Amino acid sequence: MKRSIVDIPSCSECDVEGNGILCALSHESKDFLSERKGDNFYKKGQTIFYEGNHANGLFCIYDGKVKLSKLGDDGKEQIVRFAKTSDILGYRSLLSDEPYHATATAMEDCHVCLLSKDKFMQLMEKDPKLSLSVVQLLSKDLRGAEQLLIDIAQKSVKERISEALLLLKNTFGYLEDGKTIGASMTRSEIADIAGTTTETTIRTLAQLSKDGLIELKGKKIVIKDFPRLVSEASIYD
Amino acid sequence: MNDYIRDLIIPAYSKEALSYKKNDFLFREGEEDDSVYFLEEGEVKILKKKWVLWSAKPNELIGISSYFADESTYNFSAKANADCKVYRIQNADFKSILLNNSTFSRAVMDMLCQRIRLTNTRTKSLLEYPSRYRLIHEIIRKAKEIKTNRVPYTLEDLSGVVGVSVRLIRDMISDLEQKKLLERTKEKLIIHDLKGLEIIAKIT
Repeated sequence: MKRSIVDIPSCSECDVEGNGILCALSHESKDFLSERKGDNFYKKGQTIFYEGNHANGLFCIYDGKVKLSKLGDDGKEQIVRFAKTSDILGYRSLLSDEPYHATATAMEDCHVCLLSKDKFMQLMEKDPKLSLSVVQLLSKDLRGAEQLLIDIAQKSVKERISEALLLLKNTFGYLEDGKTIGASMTRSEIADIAGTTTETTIRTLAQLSKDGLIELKGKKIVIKDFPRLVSEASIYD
Repeated sequence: MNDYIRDLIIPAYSKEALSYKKNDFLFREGEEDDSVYFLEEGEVKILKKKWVLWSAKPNELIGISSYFADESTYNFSAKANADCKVYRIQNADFKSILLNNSTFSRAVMDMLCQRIRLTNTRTKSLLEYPSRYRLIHEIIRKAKEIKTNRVPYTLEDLSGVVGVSVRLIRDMISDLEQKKLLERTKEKLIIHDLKGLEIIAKIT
């Protein structure tokens, strides 16, 4: 069981092994960013920030997994992306000086650092490599958003659910057995990624399981036939 | 901010303007990615297969997200939707400007943030509204954008934007024509009753 209180070090002494854009900063830049840093613990299911809230800082995940979702006018949730250890959250709102665009929710117990908005914006002026990394990150987000748009417009529900499973595998990897997706997801959450209903998701997952592509173990999903799942998702790019 | 790119960046890094006629391709999906384009005049449709991802307007950059993908080819096509004048910035120069000019970096970030926001809004609309609403919304949006009731959309254009087949678009437009809300010519739609369209799309 994860402890609720840990000593989170300063950014320059951070022991996280990740590929987030802050990890690559110089020692000096990390020290600068660490000033006025706050550390928070969120229990599984707890909201880190809400869509529409004023953006008052940059969040960086020390450990844990987070989902970002938007609420439709009909009250249905749409998961827009996931974030994991060393990823940052809230940067788009800081850059465009707008409220948070999505709600961030802890998918498991999480430790998250809150960095000062002013420090982040000042550092971007001082450190061009950070600016380049942010442009790179936004480009990646844009490609992801465009892919989701195309998928929802053009792919069948079965293709979208297969792709949602591959997205989870790519984001969270496998557990130690090398075949179980490293995140527990409810059927409702998988439906929110694929943009469909929970009932359709349950039926489709059962069909994929019957076809031998996956195995369902409660909230855990085992990928039994990766190449066929890729084919089912119609991923060619 | 985008005036800054036009007035200060382009003269320094791209001497020669390139002209494209309507329907010419600036580049196609899969071609070698060697430049980012700055659109000075005209309009360029950004296409993934037949699907219109967005339409670039004057003072916007085209090809940024492709540049940062770990690929050496464009991951979408850029097709002139009107006669266009563009400037090319070589990829090496683009990276160099990003690293040396924070004003330029911020302009690029702003453009990307805006495109992400527009893309997410379209995704939300796809999930929430039937294709008929999306079609009417798009026609009204375009008419308001260009401030005329003559909307230069073909059935194929609308199919790409709304995300349904040309056949379904044709059926829906025919229905709107029968209701005398609009009229279709070869290359455009002429709106006869904007208020009526807004009522159907539940805008008012």
